[in-house]
Amino acid sequence: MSGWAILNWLAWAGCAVFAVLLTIDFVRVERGRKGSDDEPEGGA
Amino acid sequence: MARGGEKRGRPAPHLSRVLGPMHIWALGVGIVLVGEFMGWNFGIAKGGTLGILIACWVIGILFICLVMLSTEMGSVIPEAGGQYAMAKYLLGPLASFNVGLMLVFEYVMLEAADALVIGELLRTLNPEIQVLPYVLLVLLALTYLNYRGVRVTLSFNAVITIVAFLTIFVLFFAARAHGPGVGPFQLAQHSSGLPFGWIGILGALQFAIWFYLGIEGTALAAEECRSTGRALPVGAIAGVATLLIGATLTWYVASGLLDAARLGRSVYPLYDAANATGIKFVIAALFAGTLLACLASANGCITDASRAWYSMSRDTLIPRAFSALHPKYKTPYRAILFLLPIAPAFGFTGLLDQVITFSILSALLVYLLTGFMMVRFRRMYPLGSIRRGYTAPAHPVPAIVLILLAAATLIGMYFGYWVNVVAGLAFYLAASVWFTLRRERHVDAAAFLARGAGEWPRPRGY
Repeated sequence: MSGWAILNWLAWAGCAVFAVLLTIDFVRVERGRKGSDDEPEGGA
Repeated sequence: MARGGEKRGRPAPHLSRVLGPMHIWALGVGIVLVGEFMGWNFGIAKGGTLGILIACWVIGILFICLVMLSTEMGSVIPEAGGQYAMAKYLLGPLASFNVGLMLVFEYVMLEAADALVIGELLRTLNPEIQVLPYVLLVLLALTYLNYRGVRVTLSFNAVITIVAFLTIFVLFFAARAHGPGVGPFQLAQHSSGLPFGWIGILGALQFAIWFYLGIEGTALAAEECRSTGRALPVGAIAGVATLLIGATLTWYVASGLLDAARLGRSVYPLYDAANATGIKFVIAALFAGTLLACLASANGCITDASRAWYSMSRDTLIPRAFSALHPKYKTPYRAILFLLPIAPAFGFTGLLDQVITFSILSALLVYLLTGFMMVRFRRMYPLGSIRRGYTAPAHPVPAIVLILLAAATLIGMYFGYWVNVVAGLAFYLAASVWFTLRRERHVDAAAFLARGAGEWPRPRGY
């Protein structure tokens, strides 16, 4: 496998890492939000 | 329009007030600087080398007017949303829905164009490179950065924007120092002048706008500034000054190093100009500069599009689900994630000119409305009736100039891309019909105007 092909796979791996990080945090926040349904949404 | 529905008792979460003038500069210039590295040069095919230069100055006047008006109105409305928030208080729900949607598409389409150019640029390195994973990696990484907080996002933008801006100077000085015999910049030999006369300038306006497109996005971060009245005008006007210097230098360097026919077709003109010098470190610097400018632009676009979407949701113009803020990072995390797939979806059509045209059309419609909003704003709130962080001079001249120049650019655009212009207008008309028939009755009047009602006095004649 050439160096460029390895780089391509590393880029895919990086995509997976960021997608997983975003998903984990999103699920955690949404589960926390379910527990406090009366919480007001954005606005000051 | 529905009434009530606000949940009382607990203070609502709000965006963090952490930004200073430097962050506002980074947001504005970061989004726009990519326009020096690509897009503007297609105007040479329409109006010639001199035509694009004159068009660049004319559009510079349009943007100076736009920034003056936006800054005056934005300094009074300390809310995320920029022109959207202004339309909300000055024009009503239907106009603000349209302005919000136009801003979202202006920035999302610009992000799609950035993704396209990043792909094209990486392809020049080696044919074995697959574009898709790198573009997705860039967009996911920038989305993650935006998700984690606005301060870190725009601090990062400041660094990469400064580096990208400096690479234009690297090209300028290196080409002067190492240029061939008669001088490095052979403007007279390479210039195509004004091949189509003054009408060519009209055609070039839509490409000259690329030098500045998106600078108004500085106002979208109004709510997140530590001091809105100071950070917005200082950051935005410094941004326009930076872009004027960058645009003039870019034109001079690229037009002096590449002949007009080649420059008019280039996907990345400054990188091609660097290649024309044959100096390795300059080529590497401009490769990095183009890449960083695309990154900074995509990063700022994610910030701005999500703020506009968040504001529309908070005001119940679209479902309220998107107005949720992250409990820890205080970012509109649902809006950020919802908009994530749209840019790559359009980007991978591969239609760079179509994507750019829709972005420019959306922006021009917002600029036209901004001129009308300023006239209405000064009628409703004359000088002295409300505390302004900044007052635009010589009213109504800037508003009239803005309206005339935006209309002239739209006419020029119609000559070259009439199908796109008609299709874009039809899209916004269809969205307006949907809003009027299906959504307007769900708009919560209390939520829509609650913030401004407490801070603004009644307008004259109310």
